[in-house]
Amino acid sequence: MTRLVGTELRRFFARRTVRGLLAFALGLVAFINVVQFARAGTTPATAPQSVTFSNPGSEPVSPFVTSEPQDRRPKVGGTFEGTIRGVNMALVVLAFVAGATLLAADYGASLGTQLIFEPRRVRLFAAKWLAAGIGAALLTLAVLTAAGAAQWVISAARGSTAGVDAAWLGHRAVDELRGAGACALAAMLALAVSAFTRRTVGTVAALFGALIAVRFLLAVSWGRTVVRLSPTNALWGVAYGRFESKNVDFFGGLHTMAGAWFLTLVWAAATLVAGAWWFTRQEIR
Amino acid sequence: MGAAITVEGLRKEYSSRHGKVVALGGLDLTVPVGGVFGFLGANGAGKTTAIRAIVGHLRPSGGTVSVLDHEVPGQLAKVIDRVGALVEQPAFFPSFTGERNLELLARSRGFPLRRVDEVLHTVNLSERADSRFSTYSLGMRQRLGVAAVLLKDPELLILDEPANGLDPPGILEMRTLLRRLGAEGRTVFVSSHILSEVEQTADRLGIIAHGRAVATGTVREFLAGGVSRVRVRVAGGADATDAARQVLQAAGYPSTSAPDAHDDPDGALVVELAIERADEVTRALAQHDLWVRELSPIERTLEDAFLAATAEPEAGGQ
Repeated sequence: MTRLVGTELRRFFARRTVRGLLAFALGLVAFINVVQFARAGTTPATAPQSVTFSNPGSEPVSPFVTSEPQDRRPKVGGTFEGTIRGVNMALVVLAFVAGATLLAADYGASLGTQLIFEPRRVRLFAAKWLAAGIGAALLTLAVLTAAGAAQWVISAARGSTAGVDAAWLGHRAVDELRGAGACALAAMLALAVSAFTRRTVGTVAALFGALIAVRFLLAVSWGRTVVRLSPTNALWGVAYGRFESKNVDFFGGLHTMAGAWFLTLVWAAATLVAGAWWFTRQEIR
Repeated sequence: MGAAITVEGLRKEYSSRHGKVVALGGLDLTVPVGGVFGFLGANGAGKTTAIRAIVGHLRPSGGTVSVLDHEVPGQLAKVIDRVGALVEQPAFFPSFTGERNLELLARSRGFPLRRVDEVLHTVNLSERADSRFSTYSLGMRQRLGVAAVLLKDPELLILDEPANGLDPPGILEMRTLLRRLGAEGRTVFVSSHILSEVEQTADRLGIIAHGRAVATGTVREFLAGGVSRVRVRVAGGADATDAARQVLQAAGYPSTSAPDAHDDPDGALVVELAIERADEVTRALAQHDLWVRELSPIERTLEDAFLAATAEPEAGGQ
């Protein structure tokens, strides 16, 4: 089994889609940090600006401030926790694609040949499922680590690294591992769903549909229960790491990290069983 | 050990908008161990469906399949390292190189990676090993498919139309390779609809039509079987030929015009008769002053045997 998982992991990282997603994520991290580096001032704050409007023949309107004083200096110690939340959410979406492609792309390519070498379908499916999870987790850790390193470099050069100590590193490591776990489960979920859709696009569309449906379900009375139990919502909660929102109850009453983890794992296990069962019954061309 | 492949009462039905489609209607087939077994059938006869059932890619509606004395699909995993198969079109990941595709397959079963180079060399694909599969021609894809089959160094090779897309030198190489593998004691099960190719490669044949086996036997048995015929030409032109036809008809030897004598103004006749009894024809004609100028046996081709077998599928096995 270890050999099979290793092979599938190699197959995962050899995919152009996966490499493209990694390049895209790292490119985005680099771009954001370059922009932040370029915009960062050496002074702690920009001066407030005020504008006065007046209409001809009337009294001047009182001046008002158009922008609050902003400190544009990068400070990794204070901002990276939020960066991880944002990046995690984006990486979960990319993990959907990466997980789905590992199996879905095989349907139109080499699955028939793979089954000549490993006819035990449950075993092959499980190996792909594990490889998708491990691969997505490794990709997430690579991107988050690159983002952290880039933030630290520009903070050291143009801002401040205050607050970065062993405790901070420990907390951020936990945040990154949480993100890696969320992305692993997202990829596993997508791979299991792709056993039914047989298409990467179909799988991603189904999962995005579920995400969008959450918004509408929250508007109806019974919708909150559905949302609370939905896999994508729980996954979103794990990736984001907080369960409060100012404007919308996005998590539908899901209050704790433990609850989100539990729900996500239950869904991952359920889809694994369902996907493997369906995979064993399929006719492969 | 018993047979390399045993298929009994194999059925496969599909539901479609037009009702039930029977792809296999109770196929019985036994492939003995060793040598090359040709699996012949017209397009749509059920060859690929049968092969897909043999390698466990589809769920039969009924019947049983066993490979190297192990039931498919339940026990297939126990013998899979002894079986290589190329089903329909070679199935590889298009954006990986040929070598990468084989390497991943080898790794999945723990085969030494040097086997990849060896089999690529065997199928003459070493020079393009680093090219993406998507850039391969049909013939090169076919070669890579055969390379994947050889990767396991299998006892049983199942090849679905392996010459498909190959150029004449490629076909010759494939024929030589299959013969060599069969001569080494391996069992090569090769499906095809190209009769001449199978005739030159196979030791034994199985013919499938409408999802059922209609004939099996050695190639020699197929060529020797059926009705023997002789080709007769008489001196004296077209009138003499017509007269000869009437004489033979009266003597109990019905004849037809030889199809290969269109350009011959005198014509020729084909008589259903074993060459050993040719003297009966010459005597009957001579008694009417018709003199034989040519009398030769017409050898039965595999095409004759195939057409005869598939024309009446209800007639059963040979």
